[in-house]
Amino acid sequence: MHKQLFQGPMIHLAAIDPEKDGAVEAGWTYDLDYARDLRSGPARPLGALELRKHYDDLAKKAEHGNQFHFAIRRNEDDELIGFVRFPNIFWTHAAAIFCLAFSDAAILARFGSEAIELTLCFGFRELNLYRMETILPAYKVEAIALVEGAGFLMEVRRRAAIYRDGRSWDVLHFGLLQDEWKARELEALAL
Amino acid sequence: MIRDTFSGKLVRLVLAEREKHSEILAAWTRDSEYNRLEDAGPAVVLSTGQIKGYFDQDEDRYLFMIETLPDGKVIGLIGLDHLNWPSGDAFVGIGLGERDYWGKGYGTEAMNILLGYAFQEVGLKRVSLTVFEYNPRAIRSYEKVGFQHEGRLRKALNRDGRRWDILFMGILRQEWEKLQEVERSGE
Repeated sequence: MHKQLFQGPMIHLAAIDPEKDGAVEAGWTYDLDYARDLRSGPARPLGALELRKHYDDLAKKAEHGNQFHFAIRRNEDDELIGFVRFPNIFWTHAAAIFCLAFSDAAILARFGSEAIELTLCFGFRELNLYRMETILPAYKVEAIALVEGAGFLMEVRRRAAIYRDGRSWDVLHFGLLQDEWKARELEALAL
Repeated sequence: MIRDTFSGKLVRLVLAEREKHSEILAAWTRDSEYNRLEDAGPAVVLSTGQIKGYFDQDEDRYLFMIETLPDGKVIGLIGLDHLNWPSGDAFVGIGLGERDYWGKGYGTEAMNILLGYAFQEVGLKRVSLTVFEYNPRAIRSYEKVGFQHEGRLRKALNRDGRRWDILFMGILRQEWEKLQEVERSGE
C-alpha cells in the first residue's frame, strides 16, 4: 500500500517558493544559531534577495539528483515553519547527510517529530538510503533530543570544533541505519 | 637565510602549482587503490587538463606537495580544506601517490610539518580528519602524530561487497604543543 511521502497529519514537505520564503527565512537568520548552518564563513543575517538567489542556486544543483531541498509547511495555513535539506547524497554508498531547520524552539517542540518522521521516510523509502546522518553542535539540546528520540546514535564527537558565545563546543554526528529504522517501525506497529 | 618551516628530515612541503604538478597528480589517479584511500567518491581517472582546470578555479588553497629530501622527488600531497575561521577548525587531507614510499614515515613527518603550520601560523585551534576503516596504515600514522579518535560513522562506505566505517580523528592545539615539548626534551 502506498503511504504519502510528503504529507503528514499536521505538516507537509513542499517545494520552496523563492519569492515568499526568502523574506520569511531572512527574518529567522537574525538568530545566529540558525544562520550558522547557511554559510561557511562567520555567521551573519542574510537578506531576502540573497536567500532567493541561494534557493535558485540549490534548485539548479538539485537537477543533478545529488541533493534535495524541501520547505516544511503547516497544513492549516500553509505557513513556512522550516526546511529539510539533503545537501549531498553519496549514491555509491547509499548514504546521506541531512539538516532539519525550524523557525524557532516552539515550532521544533510542536512539529519536530513529525518533520523528522517525514524526512526519514523520504530518505529510507524513496532514496533507499542505507544510512542517514545529521550533524549538530552540542548546544542544540532540543534538536539532539529530537534525533535521539527518532533512534539516531551519536557516532562522532569532534571536540571543541565550533566557537559560539565566547566558548568552544563539541560537534556531534548522529547516524541511523535503515535496518534500525525498520526495526523501530515494526516495533511501533506491534504496540 | 630563509627560515623554511616547511622542511623536516625526510620531506619538505612545497606549494602545489598548476604547471609543475598537474601531470603527476593526474598520473596518480590511475591507481584505483590510491583513489579509494583518498576519497569516498567513485574512483575516477583524471586527465592533466582536468587537474589544471581544478587549479584554474579561483579559490584560496592551502595545498602542498610532499617532496623527499634531499633528492626532491614528488611523492604525495597534503593540504587543509573546510577551513572554519570563526571556530579555528579545518580538515587535513594527505595522500602518497608514490606507493614505494608507503609505510616508511614520510607521511607522518609531512603531517607533523603541516600541523606546525596550521597551529603556529594559521592559528587553528584544532585539526580534523577522516580516514577509512580499510586504511590501517594511515590510522597508525595519524595516531603517531598525536591525533585522537573522535568516533566513527558506522558502515558509511560500500566497497567490494561489504560495509566499512569512516573514522574521525582530531588534534587540539594544546595537545600538539605538548607533544612538541616532549619531543624537544627527549632530544
